[in-house]
Amino acid sequence: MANEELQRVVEQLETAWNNSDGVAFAAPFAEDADFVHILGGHFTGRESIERGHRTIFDTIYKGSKVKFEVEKIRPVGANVAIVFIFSTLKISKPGLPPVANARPTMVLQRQDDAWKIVTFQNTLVTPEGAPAGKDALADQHPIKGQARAMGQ
Amino acid sequence: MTSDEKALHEIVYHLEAAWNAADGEGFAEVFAEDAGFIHILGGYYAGRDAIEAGHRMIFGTIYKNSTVRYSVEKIRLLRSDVAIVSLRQYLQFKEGGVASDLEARPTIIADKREGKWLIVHMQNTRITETGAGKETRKA
Repeated sequence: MANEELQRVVEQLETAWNNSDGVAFAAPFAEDADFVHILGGHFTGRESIERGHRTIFDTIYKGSKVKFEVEKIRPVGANVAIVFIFSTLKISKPGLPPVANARPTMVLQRQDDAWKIVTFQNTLVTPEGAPAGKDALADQHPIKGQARAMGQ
Repeated sequence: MTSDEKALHEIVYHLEAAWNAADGEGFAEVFAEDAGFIHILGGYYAGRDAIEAGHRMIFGTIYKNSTVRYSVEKIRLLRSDVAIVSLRQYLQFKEGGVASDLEARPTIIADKREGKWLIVHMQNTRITETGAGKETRKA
């Protein structure tokens, strides 16, 4: 049952992304959650996670579609679980690779009868021999240089 | 510092010392046998043996004679026996004979079994030069 609930959280994130809805994306995060995004920047707290996603949904990832597949769920005792995801992002912005794969990992804790994401970390899966995709993504990413402000 | 925080810091020192001694076996010994590791390029090592083999390989090749330093940014105890440790990693290495450096943000998830902390998952994300600036976390 826990697994189904965790699976639903993943679906909620996917749906929110595909609707470009930053508020819905941030909803399952704990208020003091930590988020390490794909470029290594760090958002602290649900509010900055929401703002950060609103920004990317309006810019670099506008019109993008994501698919999150759960690779593994690992319970860590009662009420804590690690969820391993393989993400496939279809980007529709010229100059960027059309598809980016990543491995986001979330730690969730059951708080007041609901699973909340306490940490989320994303790592780009670098296709061997195509590092240019990563550079293009970094160059055009709106979060660059803003990590300080976002993290506050 | 509590004894748990101290033990978690010691795991980090252990990783650092093992890296700097290019000791794959030493690096892996603070991981649980069924631990996982998502490395900086997004690949996944399943289990302590794979973590050891993977690190032995990089210590002998791209990161030969490299030096790593980890600083602990935050320790979050989810329960008395489950912790998330947020790190900053500073790596100096030679790329084609040229001195290079790399910064990353590894995170450790550890649990305590029979009084001993072991890493159950570690994940690393490179801080891209343009990607994240030099943000600092509030102490």
